[in-house]
Amino acid sequence: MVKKIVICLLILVIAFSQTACSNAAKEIGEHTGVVIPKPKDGDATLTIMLNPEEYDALPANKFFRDYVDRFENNFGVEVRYESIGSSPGQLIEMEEQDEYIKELSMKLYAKNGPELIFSQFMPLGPIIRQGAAAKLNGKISNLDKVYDGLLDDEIYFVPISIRYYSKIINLEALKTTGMEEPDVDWTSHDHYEIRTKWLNANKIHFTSYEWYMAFESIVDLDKTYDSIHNRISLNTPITKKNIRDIRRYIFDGNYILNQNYKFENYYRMITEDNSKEFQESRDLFSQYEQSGHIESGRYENLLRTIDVYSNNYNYGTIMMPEYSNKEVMLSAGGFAINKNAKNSELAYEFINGLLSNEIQMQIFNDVEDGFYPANKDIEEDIKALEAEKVADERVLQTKEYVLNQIKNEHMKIWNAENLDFYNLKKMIEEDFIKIILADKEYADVELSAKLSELEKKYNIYLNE
Amino acid sequence: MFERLKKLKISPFIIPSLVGFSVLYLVPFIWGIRYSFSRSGFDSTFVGYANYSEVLSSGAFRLALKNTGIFMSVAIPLIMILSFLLALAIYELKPPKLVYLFMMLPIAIPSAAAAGFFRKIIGTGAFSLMNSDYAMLGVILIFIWKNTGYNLIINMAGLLQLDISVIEASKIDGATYFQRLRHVIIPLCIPTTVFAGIVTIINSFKVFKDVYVLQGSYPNPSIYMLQHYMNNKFNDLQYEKLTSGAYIFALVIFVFAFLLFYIDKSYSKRVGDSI
Amino acid sequence: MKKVFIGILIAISLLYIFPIAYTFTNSFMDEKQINSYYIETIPDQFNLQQYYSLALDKGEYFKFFLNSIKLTGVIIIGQIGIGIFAAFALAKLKFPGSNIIFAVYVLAVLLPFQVTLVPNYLVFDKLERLFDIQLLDTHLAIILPGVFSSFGVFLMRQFIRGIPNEIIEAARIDGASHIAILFKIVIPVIKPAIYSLVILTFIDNWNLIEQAIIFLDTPKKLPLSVFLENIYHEDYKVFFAAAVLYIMPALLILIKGEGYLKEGLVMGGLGNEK
Repeated sequence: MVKKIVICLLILVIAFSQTACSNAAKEIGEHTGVVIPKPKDGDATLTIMLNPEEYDALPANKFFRDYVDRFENNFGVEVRYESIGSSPGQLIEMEEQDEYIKELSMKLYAKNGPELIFSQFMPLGPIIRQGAAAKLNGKISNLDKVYDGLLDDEIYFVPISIRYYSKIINLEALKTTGMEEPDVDWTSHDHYEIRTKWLNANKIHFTSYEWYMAFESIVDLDKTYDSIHNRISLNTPITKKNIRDIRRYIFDGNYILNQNYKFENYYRMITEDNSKEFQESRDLFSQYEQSGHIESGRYENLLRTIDVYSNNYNYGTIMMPEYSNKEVMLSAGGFAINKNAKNSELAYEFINGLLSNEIQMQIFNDVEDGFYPANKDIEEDIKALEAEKVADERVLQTKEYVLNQIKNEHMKIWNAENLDFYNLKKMIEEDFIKIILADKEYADVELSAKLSELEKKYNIYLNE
Repeated sequence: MFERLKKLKISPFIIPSLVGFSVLYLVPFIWGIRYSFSRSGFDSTFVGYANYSEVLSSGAFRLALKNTGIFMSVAIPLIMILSFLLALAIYELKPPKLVYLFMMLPIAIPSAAAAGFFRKIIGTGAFSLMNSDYAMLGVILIFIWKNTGYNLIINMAGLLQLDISVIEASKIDGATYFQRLRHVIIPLCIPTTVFAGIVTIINSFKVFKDVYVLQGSYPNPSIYMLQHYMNNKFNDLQYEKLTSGAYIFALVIFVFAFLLFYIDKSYSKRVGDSI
Repeated sequence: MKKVFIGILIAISLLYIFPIAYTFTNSFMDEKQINSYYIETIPDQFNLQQYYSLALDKGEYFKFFLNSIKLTGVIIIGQIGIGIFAAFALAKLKFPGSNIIFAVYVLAVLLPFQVTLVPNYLVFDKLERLFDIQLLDTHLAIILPGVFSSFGVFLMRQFIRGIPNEIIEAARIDGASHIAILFKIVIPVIKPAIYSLVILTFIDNWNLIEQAIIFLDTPKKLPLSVFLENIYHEDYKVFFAAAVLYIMPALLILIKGEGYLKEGLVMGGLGNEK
């Protein structure tokens, strides 16, 4: 009897598996609109490793595909893409970053890995820190064209294009506060003032978005972190003061509060996606976004002034840079080169080409995804283009301000940095929810004890 | 060639297994040690004991070692005793077949499937069990639920294989149940129990997956275990620390394994060794 | 008195089955109910939507199913085939170093796999170059370690030890060769062990995830366990149906194997008669 069932099931299984074949197997082409060429027979190959989530970043763009074709013809090599699921044909998107990193690190350990490792958002910090990436000083001539602030003294990561995330202030909402437009070098405190004035003039509900904004501005976690010693200090007078301040800020009249909510409800609202409270918060937030919330609008790469200008026009906003009292973190699409790769020379050539004026100009013109070229030589040409299309002086000045920073100061690039602290930030915030939104306010002694305990916990994790 | 082997008195029976095992398990095991003495996975300069001392002085490693120690010294004896008792009870009392089946089934469930259920019971909310200081209880619970089946199968096979004539003989001699248990059944079950012990040690590592699905890479510190440390080191590409930490831990495990070997050996002295 | 104990056993077994029953019942629920915050045990409306979606939209699920069956099946056969000889040798044939070999067999698998993952990968790499074969990104990379794991050898050795030496001596005096002893005496007696091995090896290898991800590049070679993880994160609304189908083979083997376990010993002349 059981045997019969088993055989039946096996037949079913085989039958269903055939539907997969006729079922449109996700061609990489279908996913990104690109046809990845099948591997040719060739001697030298150049392999680019991509995180499957970032497949859209490179091959999706025509300028890149054209460049690759030209490169292949010029040097007589074949450029291959590798990823989890890289064979032309089926692509399974691995959600887990972990698995991709495991896969990549194995190839690096085996010393036969890809030449180029691309990253747009994926952190390459561990690869660089552990010495798997090649030092590029003096190997690539066009590195001179990259903005100084984007390169470290020892260059392991080459940015090809950069993204500077803007902050938004909605002009309609700003009017209700009676305040002036903030200056381009505004501080976190300026933003805090604008927000608070706006909240007082327009009472809204306390949603999880509001929690994040309040937490960011009042309890500034970045200040508690000492990057030199890799330690965090939480049991300090200033943190305690901030905790008391934010508690008062939330509960003493800035918001419309749900009277039925206790701590558990707030906790669920902020941390648990499938809870009723989270849904309610999200619905409320969508409402507010449509009706002139102080930060409603559409985000953009602050350096792409043409797009910034059109967004401002469409949504009635102004775009602001990072606070002048905070460190700027840029996001960059770029490459690291595997120290043990076979064809390093080819890799250097490849990147050299990508940094050329011509290609970089194409990044500016053709890329839909909102990246700005890292090449400083073409700055003037871009300025000329912008001057025609952007009628708002302020937008152009904001860009100047940011570019000056990039020229003169050393910028931190998200993908290439040591992100130990940032990986823990979200957890620290969740722990703070328990303290700040507790039903009963913590007394000073309790608070010290609790903060000490948290401090100990996070210092252990930081110094793993 | 077989003549030479016969001279060495190494049975040819063991050759295929030995060759495959050496290449696929022994060699990597030894190779891993080399990494623990290198500066990094990409830089093989010899750094002596530097990695070991860094690892030992890391607060995270010590925390992980402590938690893993607590977990193993509580959960492993607990599950072994529990499953032996359950196996004994099923063997003697002969309950409906479903009982045995139900207890075995959890071993087939992948971590992801059970995670949703456990998260809803003990994992949601700020003051749930998994977010409190007693989270270790939750981990032990999940471990016992999932792995009783393994030990149950092994213990049952061992019990079912007992030579019934010996047991009958002791009955005739007038032994009470407890005397039978103590002097006949349990001693005869020692080889399988030793095996169950080793298997349980191996399975105790796998509980990591369940905890990871619930709480991610940096869980509640009271359940931060060695596997978390190693997994994080793997993702950080700090392979030299991973191996150093793992071999330190292996030394501890080997102590327990040798204990089990000793028990196994004294059993063989009693029952008879080889032909 | 006996009834009380049996009652307790039944109660305990219900505790064990509850999470599994939960997975089953959830596979018949619709999307809204699955995502609810609370534990839902009874489907509001019994519907097979999840199964339909799985069969029609995710046909590749069944391809991976076959992959898993292939991998696990070969590993089981290999484990038993190679292990039984080694186990017999270690248990009953005294030869120099047998104890050391056994100790090494056990110790080398006591490490969590992450530790030996990188050297394993490198060993495959070297073997590929030495013998000009392809190991990485083939099923062999998973099958070979599975076959030569010392798990099977260990289990069977323990059971073979339990066979009284007199029986084997008697056969030897009668002139039987080692192989004859192995097949005529040892194997029938340790049938429970072999069936246990089949069950346990199946479970272990059916649930392999990390090794599959690291050693296999091409998606269509991946086993079902990896795909299930993928479904859990990407497509939660068919997860429960996928999970139910996933555990079916394991359940079948457990149920069938349990029968063989009891049966095997009646034949061997040992053990309980029911």
